Amino acid sequence: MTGAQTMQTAALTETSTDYLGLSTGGEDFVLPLSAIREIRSFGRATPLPHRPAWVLGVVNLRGTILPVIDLGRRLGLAADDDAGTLGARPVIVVVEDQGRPLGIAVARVRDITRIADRALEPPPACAAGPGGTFLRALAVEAGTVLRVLDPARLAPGPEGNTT
Amino acid sequence: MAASADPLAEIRAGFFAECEDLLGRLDDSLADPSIALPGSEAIHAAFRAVHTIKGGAASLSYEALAETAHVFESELDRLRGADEAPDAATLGAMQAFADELAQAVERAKTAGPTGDAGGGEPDPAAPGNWRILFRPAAALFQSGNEALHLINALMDLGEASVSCDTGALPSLDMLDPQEGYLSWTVDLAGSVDESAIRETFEFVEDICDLHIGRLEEAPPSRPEVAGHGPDDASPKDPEPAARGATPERPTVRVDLDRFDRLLNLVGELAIAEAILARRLADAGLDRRSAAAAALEEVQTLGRDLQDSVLALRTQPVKPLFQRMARILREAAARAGKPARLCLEGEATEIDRSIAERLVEPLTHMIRNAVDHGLEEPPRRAAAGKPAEGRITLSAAHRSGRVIIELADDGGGIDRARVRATAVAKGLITSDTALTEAETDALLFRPGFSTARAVGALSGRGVGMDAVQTAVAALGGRLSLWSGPGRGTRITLSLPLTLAVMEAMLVRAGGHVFALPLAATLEAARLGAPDLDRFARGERLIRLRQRQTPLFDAAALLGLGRARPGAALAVILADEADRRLALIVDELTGQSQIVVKPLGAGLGRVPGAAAATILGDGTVALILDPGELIDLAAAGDRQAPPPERLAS
Repeated sequence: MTGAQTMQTAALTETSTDYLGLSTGGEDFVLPLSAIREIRSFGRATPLPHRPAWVLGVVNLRGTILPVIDLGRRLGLAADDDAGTLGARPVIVVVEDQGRPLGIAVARVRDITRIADRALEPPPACAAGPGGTFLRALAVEAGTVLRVLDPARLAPGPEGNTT
Repeated sequence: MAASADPLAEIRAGFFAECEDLLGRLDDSLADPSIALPGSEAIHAAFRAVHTIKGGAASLSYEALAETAHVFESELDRLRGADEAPDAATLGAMQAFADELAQAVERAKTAGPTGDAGGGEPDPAAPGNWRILFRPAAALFQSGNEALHLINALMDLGEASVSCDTGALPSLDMLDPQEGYLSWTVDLAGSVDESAIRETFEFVEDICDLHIGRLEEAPPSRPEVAGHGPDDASPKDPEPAARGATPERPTVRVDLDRFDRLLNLVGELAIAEAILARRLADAGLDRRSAAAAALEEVQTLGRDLQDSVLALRTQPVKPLFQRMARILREAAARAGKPARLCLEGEATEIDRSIAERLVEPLTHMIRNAVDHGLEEPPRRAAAGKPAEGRITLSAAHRSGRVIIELADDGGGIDRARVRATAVAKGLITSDTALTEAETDALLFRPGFSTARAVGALSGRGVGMDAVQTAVAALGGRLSLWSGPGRGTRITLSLPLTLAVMEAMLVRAGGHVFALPLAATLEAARLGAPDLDRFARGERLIRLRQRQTPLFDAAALLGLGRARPGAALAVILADEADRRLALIVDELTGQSQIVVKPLGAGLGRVPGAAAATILGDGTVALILDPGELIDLAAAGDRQAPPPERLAS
């Protein structure tokens, strides 16, 4: 979006996307609304053997088995032995990536925000850990920086132990 | 033609599904020992199968396939007309024809129709194929009409082939430019009304010779088509099905996704029933009341429904095995090693979707057996083995699983060479000490291949690791045995079905787990001496006259530990009869459970292959005994500090 031509085109076809805000571990994030299938309350998951602590287990989603992860632990906002970040009434945000549903447990969901596509910036290189980054983009909106999570990167890898 | 693309695609898919059946039936007939007897019914059955393939191929414009089938059919026709029985050489040739036909079907499937230009798919069975003889009189030209326009108009009606008869044309000096000398024959295919043809000639009817006749025979260039041929003159006519010794039962083809949805619903129904039963019990329903009897009736029906639906999902391994027989003949021919495939347990039922997903791994395994397993003929002769290699493919049900084995009588794994290759490839160092089993395991490392020459069949590097991955994805396990000079045997252990199983539900560390009932031998109460030894860190307990590893189920899975004082052990055995005893809190019952795959995004979950949904709607993991035994063995090697259970 540097050339004048591009700017003009962007202005003409101003597109924006809806995002769902969510909070966990005292931090706020947004997820693209188009990736979200549903939001459910979270009770208890059936734990899985020998999985990292951020994999909470599986729950019954209308007859199919839904894996659930703890976003706070996944992002390193909470220690593995700290289950408190989810709060008293956690919810599961069900996302779908390439046909594979994944439940993301968070303390609460907030409202839906619309962000212009051109307000998005790639995440800074320093945001990337050893396994890359969980962020898809950053957006500056009304003076605050919103962090857009990449649902595809949150899922466990094929070996199930991506850190 | 674009508008008809969709329905045709469906018809084509149906045709290829039918071909699969027909090829199976063809293989059956050719393998029937009675085929060597004069006047055998088997040859007629083979003929019918090929004839049907030919008919379908021709009507869908798979010209190459139709031609292959036609040649084969003619051979079979000659055989069934012959007085004496076919000899071995002839039968071998028939087998080769059958393989070629199977390949032609595959090619047609991937390449699509190769029909002649125009691409029209006339339906020759429909009325409306016409031959029009058209000879304009001089008056036609004199009145300003043009023969070309009329013929063009005809060509617009359908697929036309036009030939012009110039026989009446005089030499140039005799030619009268006002006279008409030419006549045309137009063959019109497709559903054309006679009235449409008549309409074309409406204004010239009395200034030409016009003859419109129904075309009974398909055009000679086109292969003839099934079910066509009203008189008995054609020897290619199939025998009436009634004469066949094998009555064909009508079948329905169903999209697998739709079927799985049905199965899923039946599973949901079972869960809903369980919940209802529980709620009614909680509400204090009298078990002798009419309502309880009605509920029981519903549950019985539900169980029957589930069994019926599941039966739809299984099929014998036979078609899969027959397909492998073709792969073997092809591989043996290309490698120049004569080989014979012996099939055992073809009637063994297997889940349809498992069968489908076994095609590729089995193909790899068979090609490997021919390429790397069987010795070259001179070496076989030197070893005193028959020239023809023997490869056995067998299936059986064992411990609630399907066991598929592929064994060859070749030279066995050359472990020195495997080792040398692994060192050369940097997989191990030259001083790595490996057991035989560990050496064999190298074969399953990605990219490993010991073939000195790059085989035309096995290719390089793609092989056993791909097989291993595919089998694991099915919830299966693979094991390998090899004896130098005696051959190699690969055993696949697969779940019986991907859908339901009888399970023992146990509670351990506060969680409910399902254990496959078929692998659960018994529950045993542990005595104080055993518990003492266990508390001191001993992991081998004598149970039922056998030294059995004993583990705390919950601890083994890393999900807590058994309730203090728990003294109940469940003894499990995998299909290789390796045993394991697990300490659990309690047994909570036996039940038929619906197997649900764990989410694909989770990767491999050690110890559990799948999950199920319990009567209260919560999820329970289905433990895999084989994996638990592996986990136990791995955990044992790491020698955990002695646990204090009796605290």
